[in-house]
Amino acid sequence: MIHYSIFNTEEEALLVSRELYRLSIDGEIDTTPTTQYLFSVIKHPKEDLWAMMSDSETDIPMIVNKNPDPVPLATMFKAKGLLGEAETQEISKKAVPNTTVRFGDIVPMAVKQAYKNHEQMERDGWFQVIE
Amino acid sequence: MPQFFYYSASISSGLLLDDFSDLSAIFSLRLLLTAYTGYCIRVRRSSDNAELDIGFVNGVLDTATLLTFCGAGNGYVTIWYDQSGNGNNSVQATATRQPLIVDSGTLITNNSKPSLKFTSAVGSSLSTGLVQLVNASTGYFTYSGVASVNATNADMVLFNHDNLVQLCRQAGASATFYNLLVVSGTPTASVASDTNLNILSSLTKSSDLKLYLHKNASVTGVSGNTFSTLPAGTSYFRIGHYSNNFYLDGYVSEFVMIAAENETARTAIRDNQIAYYGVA
Repeated sequence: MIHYSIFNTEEEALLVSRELYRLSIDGEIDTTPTTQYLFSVIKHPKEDLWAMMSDSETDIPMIVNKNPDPVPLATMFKAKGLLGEAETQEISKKAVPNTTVRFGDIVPMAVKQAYKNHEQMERDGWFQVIE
Repeated sequence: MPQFFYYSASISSGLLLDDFSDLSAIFSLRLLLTAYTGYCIRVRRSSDNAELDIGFVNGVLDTATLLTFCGAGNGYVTIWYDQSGNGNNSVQATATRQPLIVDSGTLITNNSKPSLKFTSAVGSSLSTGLVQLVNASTGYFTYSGVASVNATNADMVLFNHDNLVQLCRQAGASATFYNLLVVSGTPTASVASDTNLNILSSLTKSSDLKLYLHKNASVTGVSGNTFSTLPAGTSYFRIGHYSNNFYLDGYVSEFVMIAAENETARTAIRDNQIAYYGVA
């Protein structure tokens, strides 16, 4: 099932999506990949709100590369007050190099609790009609 | 001695699009223009997220290199290169939204030809940057695409040239239709949809400024709507969605866009596509 996480700025949403993807790539294989983000980021048609569209915790496991750097992601979540030290440690343990991890295992509980589903997003005016 | 023509008498011995001008975008898994010497697609493999440009061999996608690169995993298209020479490449930088070309080591095909698989549940789609695919002054265009949709009743967009023209599949009360829309939002032309691989083409007719939508060799879907003008600006061209919604669930094999009204080209391209893709 698709979930949406709401952000107040495009930069925040893109940072999360980009850092999640960076955990999964090996810079020694391809230093200039076309792919930059793991999940899609969309803008509300009328408000300054951004949403990252992610799969649920049943998502396909992501590869964790051999030198993952979760610091930028954790720093942003901490700055927003969404991630405490205990949870940071817990999440870091799951980002083990050369293994796989599910998205739902490495995002803060506070983010997961704020997920919106497609029907809620439609009610909130995120999608226009075909015209 | 009798003369034999391949597909159409109007086409020379070169590739399909060699004789036509005003080509604004060409997306295909076969080579359609002799002058084009670039790659066909760029692919990300699921095993380690490495990416590789894949070209052509004997005028078709180099499937041997593609399958070797992907191994037993999946292959996702990150760039569908534009063969027109305009550099209007169609790109998807978000991993979860990239259309599939290799599924667990097996090439995706539709009617036995390579095809890109779009999945609405994950929002797969491709997009150019800001491009000028319709005529810059008149808004006229001609296109022909090869695609199919899966059997759901959901509305879905096949091709969207933002704020200019859009081809979508929309569900009606008792049937589903391919609808051609322009910026005004009024369905301009409709033809019944199905789940077959179809040739869907359209062109403007400048004499009365109407838009036409055709499915395969029929002329079903001739518009009853007329326009005093057509929109003619630059915008994004998207394959597989509109406004981050109405994602395509189906397959796209080819799309050719001409920035002019050209019925000769449309019928020649359509006839070639019908023969090559085995469309009934």
